[in-house]
Amino acid sequence: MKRLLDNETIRGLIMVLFSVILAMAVGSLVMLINGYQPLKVYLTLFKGAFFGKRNFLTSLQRATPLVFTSLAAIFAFRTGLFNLGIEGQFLIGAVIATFIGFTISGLNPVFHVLLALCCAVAAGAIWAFIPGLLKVKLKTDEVIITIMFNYLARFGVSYLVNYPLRESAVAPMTPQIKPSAELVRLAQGTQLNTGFFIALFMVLLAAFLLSRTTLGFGMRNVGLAPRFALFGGIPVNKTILMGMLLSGAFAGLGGGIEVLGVYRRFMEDFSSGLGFDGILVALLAKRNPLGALFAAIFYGGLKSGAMVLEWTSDIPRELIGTIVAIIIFFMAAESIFDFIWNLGNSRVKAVTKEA
Amino acid sequence: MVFDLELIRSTLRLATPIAFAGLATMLTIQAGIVNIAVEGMMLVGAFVAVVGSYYTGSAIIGVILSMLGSMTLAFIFALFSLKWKAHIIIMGIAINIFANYLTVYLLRAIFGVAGAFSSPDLKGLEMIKLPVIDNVPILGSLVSGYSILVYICWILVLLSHIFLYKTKLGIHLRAVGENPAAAEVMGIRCNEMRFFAVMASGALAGLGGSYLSLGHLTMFTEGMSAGRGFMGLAATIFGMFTPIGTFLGSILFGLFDSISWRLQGMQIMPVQFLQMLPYAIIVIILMTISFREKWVRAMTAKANRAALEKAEE
Repeated sequence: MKRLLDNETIRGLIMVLFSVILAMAVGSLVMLINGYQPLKVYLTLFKGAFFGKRNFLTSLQRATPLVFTSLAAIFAFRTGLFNLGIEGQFLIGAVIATFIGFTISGLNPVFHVLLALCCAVAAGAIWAFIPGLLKVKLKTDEVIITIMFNYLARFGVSYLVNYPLRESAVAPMTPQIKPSAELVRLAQGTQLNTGFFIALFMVLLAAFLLSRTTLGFGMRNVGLAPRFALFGGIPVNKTILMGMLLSGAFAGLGGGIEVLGVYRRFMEDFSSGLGFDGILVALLAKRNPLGALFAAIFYGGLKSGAMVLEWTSDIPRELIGTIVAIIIFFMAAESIFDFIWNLGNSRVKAVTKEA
Repeated sequence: MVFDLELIRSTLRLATPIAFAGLATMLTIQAGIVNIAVEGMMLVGAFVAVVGSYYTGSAIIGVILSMLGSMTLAFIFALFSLKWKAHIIIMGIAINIFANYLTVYLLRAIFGVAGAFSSPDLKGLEMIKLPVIDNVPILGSLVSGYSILVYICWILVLLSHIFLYKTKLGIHLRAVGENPAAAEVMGIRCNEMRFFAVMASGALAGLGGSYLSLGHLTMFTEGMSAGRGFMGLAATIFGMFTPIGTFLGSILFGLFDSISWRLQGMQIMPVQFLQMLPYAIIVIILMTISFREKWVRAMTAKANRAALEKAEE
């Protein structure tokens, strides 16, 4: 039993579980203050998220973009970078994919989708590369620069949908993409599409890249101890650039897939918050790609459950984001758990001594 | 006409929330903490100010409550990052996301509206005419007739200068940021000083937030802080971590903000390009600062090498 508890993963899982319970307790308090019944709310929420085929598939659809944005966050975190510009990279990827999607016609569907997604990847990567380059060459802090790049991307994209790419006179949005660029929907009545399989593949690819390649090894070292990595012969600057590139690439791909699979056109402000949600998911998964898949499904599920909740009892769906952020508070503060852990252990010791 | 007296006035107005955020960030950086949670604290402050003013009918009570609201968030930030050792930047990110969702949630739960809330019952801060200066020809029209928070901001810039460089507590605070180990040896309680700095930054962020929702406008909109907390961080870097420098930095960003608004009114080009202006300027300014630092480093290294060679001869 003791060996099982010492196991790092078990400890991590218990930590996650504990954080979730604590955050839900705090969330209940907020709900009580607003006059809602927490138990009923949580039940409706989980039912709306995971019970029933349609609810579950919708949860997977909601999880898809989160998988990409959380992988983007993980690549940055692992390299010791704070890429807060995922939101912007996601948008840039989405708009480029839409552009390729509706301008080119008469292409084989496979090639059309591939072309659109490759362009989205490249665009997201380039948008993330600039802050990376600034960090490496000028040592500017990437936290502020990536945030500023979010605003630049948001207004830049808003210009594109309002002027050159605008189709509808009513709302700022682009024309619909050609059918050949669409990702196929998997089931009737949901927007779940083949993008989910791409997400699964990318999780495996990311896990492989991070744990089984020289690049991943270098990233981890740069992230943990940059000076040590430098003396160990790892090209630190190059690794930082690769970290930003890959991070932006995943974000851009996510944007492309969201447009080709779900919306099929670019509408202004369609993605608000997905980039930051991705950061939450990455932290929830403790920066582990496989964990990110489950965390994304958890969060995506809660988000889709929150929609059901909003329809049935008009409790604002933003409640979920609030609670998940609180989960991250507890998870970020590992020493709370050390405290509880040690308390438990010392009690065990005391008992064994007495015996 | 783009440049006139009104441009200076609107620069001073728009610089105020950035200056509050800047002072908040500057104080914590002086204590050795990069506090990016100022953005979220401001947003919560802006929201609480509106709630307070709406329900009590007094804008001043709104401002006070907003400071308390932001300080509550600052307390959570300090508790988790200082006591329970959560990573400062990660905690900052989490606080910002939390503030974003919480304000939207509460906006809908309390007022039942999405996007923005404004009401005739919502009392904003009144403009104050300075007694004597108001009658002085040009000076009067420059510095008189702002909301009280603008003047509080100017006073706080001076006070924080005096605090940091002339008082014992301020010198201790800077010692904690400069060299925590040495400060600890001197008998300064580092964590207590940091806690104090974070709480002060919460109060300042609350003032900045309430200026946004009760001073500049009389309404709350989702994501109202719009990166001003980060602009405050940029202003701090621009001002080389001094109160006066930070204030000058926020005046500069305020200027570009107001130029952008001015040009938007003239409809000479798509609004989006003008909205980008303040953010693009910040990127360029940060690049320039870093470039200068790099150049200084290179020159110092060169001078050191030259001195070394001379010594060897």
